[in-house]
Amino acid sequence: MKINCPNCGVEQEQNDLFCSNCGTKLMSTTPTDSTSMGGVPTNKLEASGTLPVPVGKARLNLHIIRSGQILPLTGPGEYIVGRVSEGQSILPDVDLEPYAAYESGVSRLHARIRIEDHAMWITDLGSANGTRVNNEKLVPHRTYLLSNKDVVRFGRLNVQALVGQE
Amino acid sequence: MRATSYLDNYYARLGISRTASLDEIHLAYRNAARRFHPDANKIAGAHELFLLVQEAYNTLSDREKRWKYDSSLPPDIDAPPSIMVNTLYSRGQITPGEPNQVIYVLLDLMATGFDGSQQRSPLNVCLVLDSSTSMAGSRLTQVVKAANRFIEQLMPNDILSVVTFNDHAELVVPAQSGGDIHRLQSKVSTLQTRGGTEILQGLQLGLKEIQRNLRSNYTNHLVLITDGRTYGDESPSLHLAEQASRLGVALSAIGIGEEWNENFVDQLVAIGGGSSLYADRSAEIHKLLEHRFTTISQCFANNVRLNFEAGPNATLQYAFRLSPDLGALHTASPLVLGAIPLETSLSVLLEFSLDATELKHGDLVLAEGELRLEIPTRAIPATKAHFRLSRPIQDVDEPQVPSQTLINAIGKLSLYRMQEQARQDIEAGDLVGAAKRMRMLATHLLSSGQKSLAQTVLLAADDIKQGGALGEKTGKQIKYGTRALILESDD
Repeated sequence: MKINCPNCGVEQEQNDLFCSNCGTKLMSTTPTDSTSMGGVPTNKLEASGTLPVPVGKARLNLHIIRSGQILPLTGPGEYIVGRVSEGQSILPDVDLEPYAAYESGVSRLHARIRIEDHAMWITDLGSANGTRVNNEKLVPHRTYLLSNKDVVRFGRLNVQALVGQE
Repeated sequence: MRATSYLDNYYARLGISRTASLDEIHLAYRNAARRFHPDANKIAGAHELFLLVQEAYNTLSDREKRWKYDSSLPPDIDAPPSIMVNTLYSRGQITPGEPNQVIYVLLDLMATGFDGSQQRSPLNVCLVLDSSTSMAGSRLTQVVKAANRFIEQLMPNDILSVVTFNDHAELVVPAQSGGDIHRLQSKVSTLQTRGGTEILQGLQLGLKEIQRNLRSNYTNHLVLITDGRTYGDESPSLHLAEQASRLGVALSAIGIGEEWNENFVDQLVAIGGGSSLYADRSAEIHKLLEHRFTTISQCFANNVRLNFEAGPNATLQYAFRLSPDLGALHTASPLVLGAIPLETSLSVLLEFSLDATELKHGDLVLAEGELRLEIPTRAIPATKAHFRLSRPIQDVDEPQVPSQTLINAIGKLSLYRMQEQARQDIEAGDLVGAAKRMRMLATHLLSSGQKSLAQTVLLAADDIKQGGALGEKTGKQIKYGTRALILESDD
């Protein structure tokens, strides 16, 4: 059974943890929670080597941990996370400015979150202060799998990825 | 474990008194278990509410644990009779020193001890029907049909009156008991149309008829059915709705077609905790009135309201009723919640914004006050209980996962709130912002598979950008369309 790297598309062995071509991490950074998007256990994903079949519809919410806001991102799609500041030509889809983003070192275009029916992926867009998932630093411009309840750190701003049911 | 405040304690969760016997506790638990079963409770995450009940039962059914729990409870706390109150917070605590925080609270109120064999409380209802020229034809035919069906469902001890209005209001059926079905139906069948729509006229006469039999052991309710826009009498109508609310008369509405002013009507009915329904085709009228009959007659408690004062560091930003009828609520005190149904719950989502900049420890009070309600089947219907919503202020190392029920509710509400915000943008003159928001809404709708609604929203976005207004029909389709999405099942 082979899988394709979500970043460069090159075929990989099912047990590979990193892509041999571009180095993208192929599994969730830390399997802290057994449910991934769609309610299929992460370990099942590793066992079968394919992405889980969607079970019902799910949607992602960003939970700003210190201040408690829940920002729903409805449905699949790509979301650029960052902050809006004056004179900026490309605007992020999710503006973290109201949550002290500037003070926390969030870049204007900080990271990209991609949601498909069955999985969530995160890519740091070369931000000044970096992105961490469960305290593990992401290599910029590489795509990582994101799981339910993972804590993402944009600069110094902690945000939790939470999957809700449609 | 922090469930030791007014209305947020183990006794309130089970709806029992502090002096309840072990038998009463078992009984209350069995009742709650039955009621919170996902099949019985349509609200997503009844399971999580059930866990709260379970937690309460585990403590109260154990003599030693109960004794310990009791000693941690302030002495003057008691639960309101016959109502289970469960409170779900999005966070266990408030972060010290942090401005701009938010907490979501789900309040769930449910009747206890109702086994379905008891008789419902009698109704005192007035149907206030629009008979303006625009109602002529199928609209009027359908309204008459719906009213006749309504009459058939009445019990002999119910009281009905029927008022029609155009430029003037006319009393078609003076308040009388629901016994003589055929006589009532024949009177309703004679309706004629003429003139314009003046809602105030109809409301005044309708309220007068209800007042003739105003008793607190009745469910007092006025149903407005209209297809037109009222001009110039909005503010006295709102004032009248406030008076009605104070008297314990609830208002609800059914709007037909595209002309009626849904913003005004929503505002009007929200004053007394009622809600509006939208019939885009006249064939839907009888179904909607039938639904309204069910919600009016299946009431355990009426006129449920929170007289509250927000804490010094808290503001109530948003309140939305998720069950039994969907609708945004006025956030000022008193917060008028509506009625507690017999079988399901009255469920309200509250959003508070908080400022803990100056706070280091202790409790942050979100709101405190009195829950007031009327249970018509009781000898003394009016009842009240003190309540307080609060959270401790402390830092936590591990992030807490907010309740799944709340996450789901907030997610589902987000589309409805986007159209609300777009409307606010238009009112504030920010057309570019409104159009942008509508396009975002369309994207979200598309990705949730709502193609035709997404199409409507996209067209609306163009209209707003060009003409600066939201079309009559599209506005209603978007509002009631996104509202209906909230109810879509979780499977």
